[in-house]
Order: sequence, then structure tokens, then C-alpha cells
Amino acid sequence: MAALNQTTQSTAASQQLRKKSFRWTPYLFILPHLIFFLAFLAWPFFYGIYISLFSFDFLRPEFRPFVGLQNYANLFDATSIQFLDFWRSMRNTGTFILYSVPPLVIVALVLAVLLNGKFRGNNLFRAIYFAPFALSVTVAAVLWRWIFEQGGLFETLSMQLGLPTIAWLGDMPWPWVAITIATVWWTVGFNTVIFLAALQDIPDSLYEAAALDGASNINQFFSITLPLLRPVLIFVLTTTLLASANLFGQPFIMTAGGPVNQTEPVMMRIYNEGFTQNRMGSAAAMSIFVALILLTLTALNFRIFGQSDENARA
Amino acid sequence: MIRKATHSPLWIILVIVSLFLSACGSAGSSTSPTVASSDGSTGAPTTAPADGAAAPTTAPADSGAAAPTTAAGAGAAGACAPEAQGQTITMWSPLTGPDGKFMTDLATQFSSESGVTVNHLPQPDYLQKLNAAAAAQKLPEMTVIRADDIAEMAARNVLKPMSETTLGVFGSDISSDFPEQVWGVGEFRDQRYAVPLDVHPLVLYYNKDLFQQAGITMPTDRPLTREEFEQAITTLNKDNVAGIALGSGFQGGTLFWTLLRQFGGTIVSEDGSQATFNSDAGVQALTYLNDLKQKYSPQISGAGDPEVKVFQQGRAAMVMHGPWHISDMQKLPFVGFAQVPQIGSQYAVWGGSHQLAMTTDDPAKQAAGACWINWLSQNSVQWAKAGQVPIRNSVRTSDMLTSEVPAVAAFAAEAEDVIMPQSVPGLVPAIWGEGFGQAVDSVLLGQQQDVKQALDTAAAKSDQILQQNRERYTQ
Repeated sequence: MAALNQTTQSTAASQQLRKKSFRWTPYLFILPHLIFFLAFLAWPFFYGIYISLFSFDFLRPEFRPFVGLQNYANLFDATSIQFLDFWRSMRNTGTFILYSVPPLVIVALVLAVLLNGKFRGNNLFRAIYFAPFALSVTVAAVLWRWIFEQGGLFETLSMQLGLPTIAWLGDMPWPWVAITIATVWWTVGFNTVIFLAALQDIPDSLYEAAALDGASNINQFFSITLPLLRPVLIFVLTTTLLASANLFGQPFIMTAGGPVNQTEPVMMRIYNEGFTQNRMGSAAAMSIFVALILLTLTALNFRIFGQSDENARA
Repeated sequence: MIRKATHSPLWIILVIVSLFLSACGSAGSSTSPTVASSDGSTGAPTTAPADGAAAPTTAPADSGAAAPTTAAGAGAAGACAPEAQGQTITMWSPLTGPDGKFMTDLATQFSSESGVTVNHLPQPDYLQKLNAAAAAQKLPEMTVIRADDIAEMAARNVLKPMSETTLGVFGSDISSDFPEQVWGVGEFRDQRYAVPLDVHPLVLYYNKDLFQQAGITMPTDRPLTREEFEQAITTLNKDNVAGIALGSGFQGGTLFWTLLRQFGGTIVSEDGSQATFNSDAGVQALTYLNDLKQKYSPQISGAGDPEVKVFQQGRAAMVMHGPWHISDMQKLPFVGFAQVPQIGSQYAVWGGSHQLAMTTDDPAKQAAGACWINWLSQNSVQWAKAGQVPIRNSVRTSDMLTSEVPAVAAFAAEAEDVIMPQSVPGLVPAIWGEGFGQAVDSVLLGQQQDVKQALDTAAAKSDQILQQNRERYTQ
């Protein structure tokens, strides 16, 4: 009895021990990431919430009144100095999402299908289409500013050919077109590579069977490729949407937000509010508000993503 | 099969990525000055890609020749106070264009002659850097600061006031050697924070060939009058070559401010509390500017000074812009330099000003900094080679400037009438960037027809921000 008890106890103890060491292992694995996550994402996020409750300037600790939710209320008060600029910039970011997401997804998909073909030099082309993604936003945007600006490549060429010229960076809506073209050129390679990887996971036998049944290439694309790409498509859609909502560098360099702030995205407004006007409390409130919207968007996308996964399994 | 297929492209991609990343480093650094120049509201005095050919030739022999011609020969290098000897000071600046090289060379020359070592460090986005350094208590000893930023950076504890001893180094009558408004902007709440180095006012760049063909002579000792200017612009305006290149943004704002003052108006009340740019003079200025643009300029808009490019390509006979384009313009044989025309009854020209300020309280460092400021100020003809107008009256009116830097001498007289803002924290962003800047652009780009209403709306917003700024900065 006693021996049995002892055995049970020692088993329990060893189980507890194993349990304990087992509990720590995963945390040790994520520790390196966790440190950076806490230092550069979690802590700034909560500190941002704290800042947003004050009239805040980090170089003037002598004047830092607590204002409660006033900085948030200003965003909904039509007489505040933030209201017009903030909501215009929100509309601008929304406009850019509408302009940029369809081409970023569709062009990437078309490129991926083309590059998936078996022809000489397809690896080279894959590399070429991906290459611009390796550039920094500054390089990509300065390059396209030189092409689109007045006195730039496009204008000079069209004048020499006797074509009418367009103020690409000056007359709405052309600046959005220019920024979208620059963005597609710069980032489409990333989506293409993801689509390409997914395409290569689709077994050739499906296409062979369809071809035997007399399905044309176009039929094959809509009946085999597209349905099987659906989970990846939704993933690409989500990441592209978020990336477009974070637009900053391209208009900052190509248009400086102009003409008359009509290409100033919300991220640039927040930057100006915080670092040009030194109204950091208000800028923090804007950031939190935009972050909440993006979180909601992401959550919605995750739900759709999850559902599609179930559908795919069913 | 599938794995094999995916492996090789990834490998190639990696190689290409690394190639591009390594190319990025150099491409990024050479483009950053251009990026900064699109920042219209602060009037970033930076120019197109840096050019090795623009390197100055300030050999030690030069300075020997320069010393006698400067006004106060007494302050020659080597005369630094005993406590300054052996000090090393770092000076930051927004001089990221070709002008930064000139400043570095001057600092090197001073260091070799004086017993004080000055390290010049140009910083893109220097205000952001100063802010961050102040928060981290890692400020340098000195900085070059733009006149518009002095009051705000003083109120935000980044700049430190100059001590009595420091001011003593300059001598008591130093203020009389500067135009009053340029000297005044360096003072905040009865303390001196900065000493002016230069002004960079708008310049009239004109196409000498086109002027000659049309038989128009540009006066060299005075600005064009309104009649002369209007006559010239109508004569020069042809089908394929426009009379003038007018854009928006920075250029629109500075020209509006210039005309407003010429028509007798002000942008803000004397105490800096109330926007006044929506006065009759303001309406007159914006209407005049808009008429010029609609009648005599190609459609120009967008960031990065496209109006300057249009002029440089020979598609417009004139352009008015900052002097930081001089080094580029001098490479084009057809470009002439002149003062901005006098359109209104009272001559005035928008201009920025680089000033020298302390970011340390340490008496020995301030003494070393004062010695350097004094030397630089007296040798500012050398600095004029970077395209800036020396602001000391004695240097600016010297024969030396005319002989050494004729392009700058051609419009140096503007310095007397250069427009400077009041010494109120956050004034210029409130009045310009968030104020008349938007009104001017929306009128010039045809989005708003009612000039008065556009200016009224902007002035109301400026007032609101000025009010908030007063609350923020009184404590």
C-alpha cells in the first residue's frame, strides 16, 4: 500500500515536473520574438494610448495637460482643426485602396499564370518580375517621380511624339493613377511569387483530365485554377489591403500629398500632425483610431479566410 | 518534380535581391537631397543630386587673401578665448545638398587655424533629428537652424540661449551689421538664441537669349518695375515658350507672401496672434499671381519644383525660385540672375535664413562656438559660393562678393528687404502650411474661384491654431 502510494506520488511528481518543463519550452522558443514584439509593438501601442489622452509634446514636459478623450472627440467635431484634414486623408487612403488592390491582385495572378508556363527562361522572368520588390520605397518612388513629373520622361516623350501631355502629378485623378502604377510595379512581384507557389501545388493531372474532356485553357483557368487558388487569393487580398491602407512613402515623395492635399494619405496626416505640428497627443489618437479600423478589417478577413478553409475541406 | 521547379527561381531571386539591396545603399543616399527639397513648407534649401564638380577650392592661401577684406579684421582665426582652446564641437545642419560640402570645408579650415575643432554634420530631416536627440539628451553643441524654426525650437528647449560672455565675443555693436528683421528673428523672450549667417531670398532666373532676342535689357542695379515686368512677360510669351513658369506649393506660397508684402499687407498681426493674409492686399496678391499663372505660364503643378525644370528646358523665359538652384543654373549658359521684380509699392522678397545656434549651456563649448560663429560670419564670402547671400552688411556690400560670386551679388541687394517671420513658436506652420498654403494652391490649381473666400477660410483655421499654440507655449 505504502509502496503503491509512493509510486503514485513519484509518478505524480515526475508528471508534474515534465508538465512544468513542457510548459516553459514553447515560451523559450518564442522568447526572441516576444522581446522584440514587446519592445517595438506592444509597449509603443499602449504608450500611444496613454499619449493620446494628453496634449503631448515630448520636449515640453512642463506643459502636458490631461485632456481625456478630447483628442478622439476632435476627430468627430467638424469645428476642430483636425476634422477636415483627417477625414480627407481617410478618404484619400480609401481611394488608393480602390485604385490599387484590384490591379495588385489581378496583375499578380495573370503574371503568375504566365510565368507558370513551361518555356525557356521562365526562371529569369520570375526573377525579373520580383526584382523591383527588393528596392526601398524611396528608390521606387523617386524613379517614378522622374518619369511622371513635369519635364520628366513621359512628358518629354509625348511632346516629341506630338501627343497631348498630362500633368500626371498635378491634375486629379492622374496622381492616383501614377501612384498606383508605381506601387504595382514596385510590389506586384511579391503577390506573384505567392500565387506562383500556389499554382505549382495544383497537380498537373487535373489539367490533363480536363484537357481530355475538351476544356479550353480559359475553361481550365476558371474551373480548376481559380477555385483551387481561393484560400491563397483571400490571403493575398488581406495582405494587399493592409499594405495599401498603410500607404505613405509613394505620395510623400512623388506628390508631397498634393495637389492641395488630395493625395495625402492618413499615415502622412498622422506624421504631419505629430512631427511637423508637434501635436503628438492628437496624432496618437488618430493612430489608435486607424489601428482599430484596420484591426476590424483584418478580423473580418480572418473570418472569411477561416470559412473558406472549411469550405475547401468540405 | 514540383520542388525542383521552385528551387531554382528562388535561388536566382535571392541573388538578384541581394544585388539590388546593395545598389539601394548608394542610390538612396544620392536621392535624399532631392526628396528633402519637395518639403515646400519649410523651404528646404537643398538642390538636385550632389555634384563633385561643385566642390569649393578654399585653399589656405585663399583665406589669407580674404582676411583683410572682411570688415572686422580683429576677429581673425587664432583669437579664440583661452577657455575655448582645445575644445571640440559638433555642429549639425540641414545642408544636405552641395552647400553642405562648402560648410564642411570651412569648418576644416577654421579647425586648422584656431585651436578649436569643429565637426560639421549635415542631417536630412534635421528638426526630427534634433527632437530625437533632445529627448535622448544626445544633442550636439551647435546647429545651423532655419529662421522659421528658431522660436519653436527655443520654446521646446532644444536651443540654449547664448550667455553674456558668448555675446561679448561678438562685440556690442554686432547687431548694427545686420538688417534689423534678420537679426530680430534670432531673439526669443528677450534672449538671443541665434546669429544670422545668410539669407536665401527668391531669385529671378531669366533666359538671357530670349531677353536679347526680344530686345529687353535687365537692369543690374535695381529690380524690374511692374511696367517693365509686365511688358517683358507679354513680349516674351509665345506659343512654344511661355513668359514665366509658375507652379504651386512652395513657389506659390513664397510668391504670394512676397506680393502680399509688396502690396502693403502682412501675413499676421504685429504680435503674431491673428492671421491677416486675407486682407485686401492678400486678395490683390493672390489674384495677381493667379492671373500671371493662367495667362503666361504652362500648366505646372506637382512636387519637386517642376517649374524650375520647365525653365531649364527652355520652355519658359523666367522663373522665380530659391537660390539653392544656382549651382545647377550656372551650368546652363543662357541663365541670368536678377532681383525679383517690384510689383507693389513697397519692395519685399520672401527669403529663408540660416542662423547659427547653440544647443549646449557649457561655457567652454559656448566660447568655442562663439569663436567659430564670429570667424564664419566674417568669412561669409566663402559661404556665398554655396549660393547663399551673406547677411552681414559689411560682407554683402563688399567688392569681394561681386568679384568672387557675381551670380549671388546680382540679387544680394534683396537682403535689405527680405521678409522674416515674427519670433513666435509655430508661427510659420500655422500661417503657411496649415493656412494660406492650401488657399493659394486651390486657387492656382483652379479648384477654388473665390479668392477672398479661400483666404478667409484659411485665415480662420490659422487663427485657431495660433490660439492653441499660445496656450501650448505660454507655460
